[in-house]
Amino acid sequence: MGMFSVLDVSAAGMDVQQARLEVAAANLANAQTSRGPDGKAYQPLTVVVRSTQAEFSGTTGGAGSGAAPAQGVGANLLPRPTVSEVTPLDLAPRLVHDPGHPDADERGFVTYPGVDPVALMLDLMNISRGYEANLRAFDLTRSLLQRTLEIGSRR
Amino acid sequence: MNTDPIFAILSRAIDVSALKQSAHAANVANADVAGYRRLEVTFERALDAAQAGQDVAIAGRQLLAGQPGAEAMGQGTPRIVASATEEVRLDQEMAQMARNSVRYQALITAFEKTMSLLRLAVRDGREG
Repeated sequence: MGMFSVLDVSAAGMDVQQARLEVAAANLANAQTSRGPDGKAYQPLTVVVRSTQAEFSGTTGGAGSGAAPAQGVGANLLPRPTVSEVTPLDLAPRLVHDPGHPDADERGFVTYPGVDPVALMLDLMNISRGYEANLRAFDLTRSLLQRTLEIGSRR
Repeated sequence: MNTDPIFAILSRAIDVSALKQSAHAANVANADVAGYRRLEVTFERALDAAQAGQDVAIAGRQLLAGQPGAEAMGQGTPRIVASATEEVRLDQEMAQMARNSVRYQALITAFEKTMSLLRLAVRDGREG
């Protein structure tokens, strides 16, 4: 029964949101990090999410193209999101004039990552919305499955 | 009363509803993916093709009378297809999912009611 793999798809959605949350939290936490282990300022990261939708290209198109019906097995082919990579974000660093700072360069500027806290807070809101939506979908699918299992159990 | 066509059409409708739930769940999971194309279930179009010229009311009457050939009404094959629109709107998706789940549970209830009617008949009208 294809409905069971729907739970996996929702779980994959939650996984992706969790990865985004980790990266956003790291960016926010390191907004004031002037030097990492490599001696440079912290580089903000971003999550690249891809979908397995390519498998679906066979059944796309207009009315009734492609003879093979995807009924029943359709859920096995459901595209699920995956984190394809976590890459450094190419943002211009923030320079703060602070000559007394141990990490200041010869002109007295300290290099901080160019993290935009407002954009990050917005990201966080979107992430939590996405996570909740996936959780809700998971719950609904589960309760529908449960309801189906109850067929005939009552008089 | 012949209940076979009722069971047939109910289980078909439950299938469609389950497929819709799958499509909505996948859309919610992939909502943030760039280039993702929204999934939808095409059943109505298949239904139109199955009926091709046949009046819905007539088909319904034939179905209830248990006439052969009337099953064509439920014979369309529901499929999940990727639509042309890329955009997934999370709130719309959630609303449709909620509506579909109510529909699903209503169909299951109808299924159970039909079964309990049969049970009643088998037991010669006695309860329990």
